[in-house]
Amino acid sequence: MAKDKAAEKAAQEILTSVWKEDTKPEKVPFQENRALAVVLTVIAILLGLCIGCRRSVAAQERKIEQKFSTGVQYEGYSIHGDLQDRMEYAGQLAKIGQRYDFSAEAGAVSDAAAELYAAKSTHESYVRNLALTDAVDALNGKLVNADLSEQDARYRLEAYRNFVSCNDTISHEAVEYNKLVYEFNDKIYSAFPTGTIARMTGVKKLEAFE
Amino acid sequence: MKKFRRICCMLAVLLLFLSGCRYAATSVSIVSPAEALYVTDDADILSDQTEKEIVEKVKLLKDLCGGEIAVVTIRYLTSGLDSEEYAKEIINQWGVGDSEKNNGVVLLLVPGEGKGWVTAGVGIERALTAGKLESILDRYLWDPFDRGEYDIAVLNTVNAILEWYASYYGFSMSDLSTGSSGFQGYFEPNGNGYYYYNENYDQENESSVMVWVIVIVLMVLLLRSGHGGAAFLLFNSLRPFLFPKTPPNNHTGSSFGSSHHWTGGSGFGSHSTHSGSSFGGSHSSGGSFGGHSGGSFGGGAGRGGGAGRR
Repeated sequence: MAKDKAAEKAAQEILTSVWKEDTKPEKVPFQENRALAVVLTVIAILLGLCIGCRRSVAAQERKIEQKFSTGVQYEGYSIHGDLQDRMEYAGQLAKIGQRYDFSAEAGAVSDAAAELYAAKSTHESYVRNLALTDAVDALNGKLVNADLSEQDARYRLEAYRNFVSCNDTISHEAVEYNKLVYEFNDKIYSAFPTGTIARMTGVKKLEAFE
Repeated sequence: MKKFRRICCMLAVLLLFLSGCRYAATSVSIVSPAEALYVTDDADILSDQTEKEIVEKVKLLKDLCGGEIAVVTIRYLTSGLDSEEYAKEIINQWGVGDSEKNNGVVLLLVPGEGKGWVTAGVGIERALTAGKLESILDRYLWDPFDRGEYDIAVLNTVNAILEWYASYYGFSMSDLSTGSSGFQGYFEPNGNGYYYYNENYDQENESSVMVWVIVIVLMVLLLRSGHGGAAFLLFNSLRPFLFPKTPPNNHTGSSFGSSHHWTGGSGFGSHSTHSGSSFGGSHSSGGSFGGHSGGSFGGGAGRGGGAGRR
């Protein structure tokens, strides 16, 4: 009898626990949670937008920055290339200046060329290019009135002319380059939401060559 | 369906027209090339004999290496441009020089203001540097120009520029007077300073003509079978190959074709190696353009710079 009661009690407990299991609300598996899915989707879309936005703005920024080195209108004929040519011609004039005891002016030209070479940004390149122009003009002014040999006079004229001509081509190229920069800064960098996201994620405004 | 095709054709024509109009509207106004093409004596300071001599020599130059020299005289500068900017507009709007080599030169004279400028195409600007051009102008142009002896000034200057072309491309000045070098082909400099003949030159030109023929035949077939939209799409997608140069003032961020390597020219100018470029994209300008031979410039371009009096 006691055994029967114990068995009955055990059976009842089993039934009760089964009933409890049956009546417990069913746990929804993680993969089938609709609310969670909606939240995750929204997060994924927002992340995707932010990342995609940032990448495309940064890519556009890099593309325009590269034009400074590769050229806007003609591949291989760029502001950077012309600046390097200018440094070379300035160097030639400095060498002539050294030969004719214009060491101070020649030294100033060499220093200005070195500073231009070391420029780290577009605006800095612009400013140092102006400084180089002033230094070369000062030296050239001395050389024009100096008693140069025929060969040196010819070299001076050519080097100075090339130096000045490079600035002409730089000024034309700069117009096109700066247009790209203004367009980027005004239409992309300043726009909402692309510009906002770009700024928040570390993309910087472009500097014009001016 | 027929109505749809007609609308497609009309839209295609309208779009092509508008794209041309947009370019024309943004170009600065300059003098148009004369019928003689290589001499535009708008200021009427040159004799007929001088004009004829220059035109004949430049035609021979073009046959030998694709180079072109445009001599332009205007009484006064217009459109608010100085002589350097005006010369740059001429070389780009007229397309002086070969479209791939960009080896044209523009000599601009402004007798009413005592100014003048000479500029070279982008393909030769690092060989025919501003310094060399200034030397040429100092030696041959300014003295007779200031005295009013324009024929002498222009002829001597053009001959000096032709001499530079001869040394750069490896032909002799006598080739310009006889019109024959005895070779079948076309002169080009190569990166080592030796000169070779591009025996494939004619073949290259033939292949571009073939492309045109194929495109025209396909378009006619498509239009006849009523597929005007497809014809327009075909033409639009092949435009970079049919018109292989972008207008320099209106295209930014364009991509370009293969590059050629030149050594710097002889003398005191730049000695480093620079990349020249051939160009893709479409080309449309005012004046008469396109094609290598015949009554039109070659489609070259320049970046400005050069030498002269602004």
